[in-house]
Amino acid sequence: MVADRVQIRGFTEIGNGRWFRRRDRRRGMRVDAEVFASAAVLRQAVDDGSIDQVFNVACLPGIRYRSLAMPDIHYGYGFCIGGVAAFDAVGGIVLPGGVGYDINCGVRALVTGLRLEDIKSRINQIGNGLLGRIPTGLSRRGLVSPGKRDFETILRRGARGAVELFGGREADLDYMESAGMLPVPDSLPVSDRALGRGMGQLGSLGAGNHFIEIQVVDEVMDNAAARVFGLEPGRVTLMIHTGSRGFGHQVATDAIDRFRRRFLKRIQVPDPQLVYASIDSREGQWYLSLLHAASNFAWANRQILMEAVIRLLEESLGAGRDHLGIHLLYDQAHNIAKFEEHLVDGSPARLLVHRKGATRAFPPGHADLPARYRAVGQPVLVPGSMGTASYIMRGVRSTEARSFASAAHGAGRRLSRNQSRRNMKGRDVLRELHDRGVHVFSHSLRGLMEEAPEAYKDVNETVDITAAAGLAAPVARLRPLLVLKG
Amino acid sequence: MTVGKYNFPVKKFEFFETTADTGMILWGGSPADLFTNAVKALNKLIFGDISLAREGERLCLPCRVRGHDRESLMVNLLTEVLCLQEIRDLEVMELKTFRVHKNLIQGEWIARKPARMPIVVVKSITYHHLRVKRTLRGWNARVVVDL
Repeated sequence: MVADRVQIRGFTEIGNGRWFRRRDRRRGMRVDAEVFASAAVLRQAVDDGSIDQVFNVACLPGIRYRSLAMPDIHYGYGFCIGGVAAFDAVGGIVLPGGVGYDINCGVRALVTGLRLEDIKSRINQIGNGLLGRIPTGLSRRGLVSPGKRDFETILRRGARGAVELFGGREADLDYMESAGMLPVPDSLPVSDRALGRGMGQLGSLGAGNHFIEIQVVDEVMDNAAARVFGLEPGRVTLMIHTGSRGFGHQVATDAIDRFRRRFLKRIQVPDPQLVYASIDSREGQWYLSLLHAASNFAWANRQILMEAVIRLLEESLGAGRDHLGIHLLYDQAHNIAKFEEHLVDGSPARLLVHRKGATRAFPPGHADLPARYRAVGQPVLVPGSMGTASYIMRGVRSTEARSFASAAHGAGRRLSRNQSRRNMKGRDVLRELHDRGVHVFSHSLRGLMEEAPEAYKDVNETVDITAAAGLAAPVARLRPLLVLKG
Repeated sequence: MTVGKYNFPVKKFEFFETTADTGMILWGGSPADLFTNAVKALNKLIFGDISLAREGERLCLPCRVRGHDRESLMVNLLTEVLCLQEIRDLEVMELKTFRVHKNLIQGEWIARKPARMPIVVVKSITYHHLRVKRTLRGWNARVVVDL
């Protein structure tokens, strides 16, 4: 006798960590929905309204396969965080709400040849150095001050432009999604506001959940992949989490404003934040060129910050980067729409894949991966909250068919900022984290209270679901040693 | 606030929570009041309550903001406040309106070089569940800001 399958809001579990709901035509859904989650995570998503956002995305014209959500799903603007949706590259649509405001917010991970004991006695020196040098949320100027011409180079050439103008290694470009640069047309229609906000902020971390973290490899789960990635227990690693700053936010604001003006009365969307344009339209092409420019800004931003952090480590430890064994593991985007080839129902299709709070996770053998990673798959970086573990995972073959090669991007927020502050009232967040062995540096105590570990979901659960659902496989767990909070 | 012969309590704005961000509920007897209160609310959100105004450092700057409807006018107005903060390093304290149409605000920003650090970094003014509407009691708006 087969037991009745559990159903949550019409979703049925179809495999480990995979919940499926057939399209509801009365609701206007054009495709089915699938959420990668545990029953508890799915219930939370129902409660916070993000499941309705998954259904709304399923109503958009030209959507292919399914409206998807990753295990770190939570409520966003129109399109849930952790949402993935793909549209035909020809005749399909592009929606700024499916990318988000912080365009190409992403994570860059570095591996070093250092061991914990090499930096343990210098943690405070390094932390204070970062705090003094890296512009965070409350400071207004970035590390570099490009003129208009150099700034345009950054918008056109991304991380490559940053290497050419401000230093770095060309070889690192191979270890970034799209080599840190997406194409932009000759005439780039950037608004004065975007230009003004972006020029002053290049080489800055920003605020909120942005951070620079020094970690140590705590446990290796996949020895073969870890060897390829250069990870072993006790090895020091580093993560930088930031995006396109005010430039990307202004681009998104400009795009939603223009799309609303041009299309909102002519199209039917369940939420105005999901306003879209045809990819082939003038507005669609205009937005894509700005999206690419903002993505290039974000890659350049992380590149400039990485070089500053490496210089600081070199000075603090009195040795060059080669001697310290520092190399870029990978740089991946969280908020982006990119043209990619995928199999849909067994047939190859060129699609515009929107990932909002989700990462690309290419499987082994994918032609777009650097040669070094082709045998094991793309490194998938899953940062935890301040004070909890982060993970390095890798893309696996099953992710291609299930999620357009996408995986979770982090822990996902659980408490509102005010709730988190109330939670932390009377508690010494710095002391509590210090007692856990995490040295936190920040200009904003309020920001620290808002970003306390309890404000986020359990990253271990996100990683377990991601692995169980066949989206990515864990390679190593990282323990934080030092955090610079934006 | 006076609407016709009726007097209503003068509540100008209040904040509400969302999981990751913050929202503002705004009131005004007229569109001009509503937009003026929106600027005040954003200033309070970014810089907090404490007033450290230093005499002699105030600047008056011309304000001319367009939108294609009242919602986009609200977003563009508040985005201009963020731009003045980020690009020109100014704290916008107030907006004095001269003309408010459905798609245009003309007036004057009252700003200063910030005498205090922001307590919150506002990154975007969003269209998420944005509402600007006329009610029996005047004008009312709901704006969610991305932090």
